[in-house]
Amino acid sequence: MKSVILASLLLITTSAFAQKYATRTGFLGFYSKTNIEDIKANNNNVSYVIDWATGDIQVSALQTNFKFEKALMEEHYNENYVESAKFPKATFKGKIENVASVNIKKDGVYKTKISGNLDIHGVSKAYTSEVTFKVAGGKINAETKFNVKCADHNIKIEANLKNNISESIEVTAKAELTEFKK
Amino acid sequence: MKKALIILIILIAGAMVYGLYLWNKPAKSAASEEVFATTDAPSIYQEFKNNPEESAKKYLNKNIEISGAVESFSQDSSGSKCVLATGSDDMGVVSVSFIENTSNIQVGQNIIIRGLCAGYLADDLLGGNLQLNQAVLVQ
Repeated sequence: MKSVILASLLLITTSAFAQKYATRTGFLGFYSKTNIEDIKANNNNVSYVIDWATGDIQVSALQTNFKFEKALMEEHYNENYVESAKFPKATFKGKIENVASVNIKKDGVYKTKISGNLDIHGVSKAYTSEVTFKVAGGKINAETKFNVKCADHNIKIEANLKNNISESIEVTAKAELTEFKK
Repeated sequence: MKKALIILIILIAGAMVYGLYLWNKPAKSAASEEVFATTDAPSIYQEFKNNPEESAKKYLNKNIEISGAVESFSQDSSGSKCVLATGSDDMGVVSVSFIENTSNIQVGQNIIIRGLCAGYLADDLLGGNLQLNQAVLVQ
């Protein structure tokens, strides 16, 4: 009897933590600010997958899905800078630090860090960033901001546009994740 | 001398007009682009799933007309979106983002859309996601 209780307890705890949350309509945006112009791009079709059992997080976005204010900017972004035909995806694979501190069963705001590799333009680089998880009504809102240097990902900006495009781009990642059920 | 000056002014004006045109060029959309292929959601999804790279080369940025059953529909500040069922054994979908807000789409309805192929994202857990942008509802 005791072992049955123990086994069922074990089962309950593992199933409570073996939980994957995901979305296909997360947000990823970037912002370049210079004295001459501000450039913004938004992508609302980004997939986010978090495995709360391991703290693994995976984010993937299609470069061609970033929407700019001007069609010409979008064209330059895809053709000259990230070369979308050659490198169609931007991906992030990482881990949530101290994942046990986020109680996905209890509504609240949890702050921790996230670290992993961001792959843009065929170049992968390690990043660490502060992240906020808001748990409310079974949904989890994740949000983080960090800076990416174009040169780190081998993205070259022409000399005559150096004043228009910032060398350091602010990236915002935001998503509402729900429990993933097959 | 005067003639050369006039020609120069015309050239500069021309360059400025062309520059303005480029700067304000409207984004490509499925409403204006020629239809490249006509298919249904399950077939094109399988084509991408079986051969993502070749399919991307073939369809990227092209206007594709796709028929399919609506699996979900949403509307928010980023616009109207719908997901077409693929009938695939993974969780794969065809995602469509419309240019204009469309409110007359019901879940389960069979629709025909035209959209520009933005690409295909494969995910172990979520399955594939074929994305179409700047889309219009045909029927």
